[in-house]
Amino acid sequence: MSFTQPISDSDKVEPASMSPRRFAGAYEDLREGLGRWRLAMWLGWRDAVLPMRRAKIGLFWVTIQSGLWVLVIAGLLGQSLGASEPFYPVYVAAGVVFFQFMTSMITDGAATFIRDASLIQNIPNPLSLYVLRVVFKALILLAAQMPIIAIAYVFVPEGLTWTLVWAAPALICVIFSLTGLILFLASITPLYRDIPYMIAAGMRVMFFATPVFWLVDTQGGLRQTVAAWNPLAHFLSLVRDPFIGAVPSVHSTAIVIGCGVVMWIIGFYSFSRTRTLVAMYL
Amino acid sequence: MVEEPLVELDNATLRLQLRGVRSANGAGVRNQASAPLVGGRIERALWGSNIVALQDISLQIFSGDRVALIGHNGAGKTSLLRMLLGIYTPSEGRCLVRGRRAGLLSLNLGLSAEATLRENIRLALALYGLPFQEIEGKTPDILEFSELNHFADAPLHACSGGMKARLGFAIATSVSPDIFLVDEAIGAGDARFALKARERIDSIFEQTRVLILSSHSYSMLKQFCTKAIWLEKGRLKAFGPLAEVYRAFVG
Repeated sequence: MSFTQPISDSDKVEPASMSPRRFAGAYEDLREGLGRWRLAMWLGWRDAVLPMRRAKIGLFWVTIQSGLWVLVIAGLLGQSLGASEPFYPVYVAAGVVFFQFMTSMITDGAATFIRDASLIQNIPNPLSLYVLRVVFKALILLAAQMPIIAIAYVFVPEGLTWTLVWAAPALICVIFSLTGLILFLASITPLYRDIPYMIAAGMRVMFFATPVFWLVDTQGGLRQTVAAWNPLAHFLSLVRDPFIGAVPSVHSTAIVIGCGVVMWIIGFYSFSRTRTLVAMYL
Repeated sequence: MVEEPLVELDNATLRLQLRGVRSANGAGVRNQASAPLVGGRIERALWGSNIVALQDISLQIFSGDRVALIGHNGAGKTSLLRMLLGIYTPSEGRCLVRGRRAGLLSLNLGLSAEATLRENIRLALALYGLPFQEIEGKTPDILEFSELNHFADAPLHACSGGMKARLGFAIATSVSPDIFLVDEAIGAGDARFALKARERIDSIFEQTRVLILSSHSYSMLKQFCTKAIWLEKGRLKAFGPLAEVYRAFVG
């Protein structure tokens, strides 16, 4: 059983062939989905917490998994790769944790409509609800991993500075920008089923092509080029810099917000084109 | 004053796209007229094939109508229900529905095995679009009706199939809409519960202004419906009094 929202007097369903109607429909969907953020939060909770509920330590496994990565990377590579970074343990910890956050947003985001195909096909709800729940799921998993960064500070307590207050606005910028991206990916994935596989393959490579655990060369070289042209490097440095005693650079902020605006335009356009087709392609 | 129809279809056509499926038509099927009665018509399209699930449907349903939806498998019954719910958008024509719509298309939608019964009720009701203020109030009723009060804080995987069906039924029938769309999903639990379920359905159907019930069981349709829509290969074959339409359908 399902109620359509809003409970209005009349409800028209017409072919959305004309652009203005498409845009209005997509806008209405987004507005309604945001209005039901609490349901999106419950769905995020369902995806993040429920699968691990029967494990004795539950969500703590997420912490352990990333913690082991950080431990191995910082322990084995710290001396050779991180010599010029005084807060290397925190650099790696925050790098791994926030890269995981972005990976989770992008991979889950692309497949979000497919994952809940039966709900979408049987209960009339705004599709943006399923985009929003990806954000909440990623945030829950991020919260579970924050203790790793806290532990990393034990090794370099002097890394903890007032710049940390920049972390929250930086994270909001990153979420804004990535939400535009996943709106785009989610809306075309039902039609192009190769996308989730492309992203899974791509994100694995990006873990190495992004300065997650290596430092950006300051004297030119391939690493500097890669870090300059890889947008994810700017996303990562924006949220990580506050943790290692630096204020996020204007350059990275501009790139993240610029990417966000572009992704939202593309995402909104593709969402408005495919919104009414998604249910039949699932 | 002329009464406004609650449901109005105007030459509504629904094409379901099969992208990348070039030759969905079986080999040798050239003459569509000789094709079997099962499933919609398949046509070639730019990017693959289209299944014409519904074609040129025009009809009006007024308050108080109890409509049976009959037709062979793949005749477009579920597609029509989904279009009326607003999940599918017509490819051509117009579909207009006035009032609160609700659909009962499947009983265990949105239930998670790892969540407790109470959590499941909350999540499912929220998915069904019930306002948050009303969810808390409905929960005790649902537990009471499904007689699962003592399992309220147990995970759903601790429940047997029949217990889950009871819960699903109790949740799905706990809100009463103006226009109720039901897809053969009725009937859950043991004999004693089936009786209870029947009473509950009776009272819900009485409250709704329009009921559209899709089923293959004539005894069930006869009990609840007075009119019938007969779909064949996505086309509206007949719309009229149930007994008449059903006789033509069988005959």
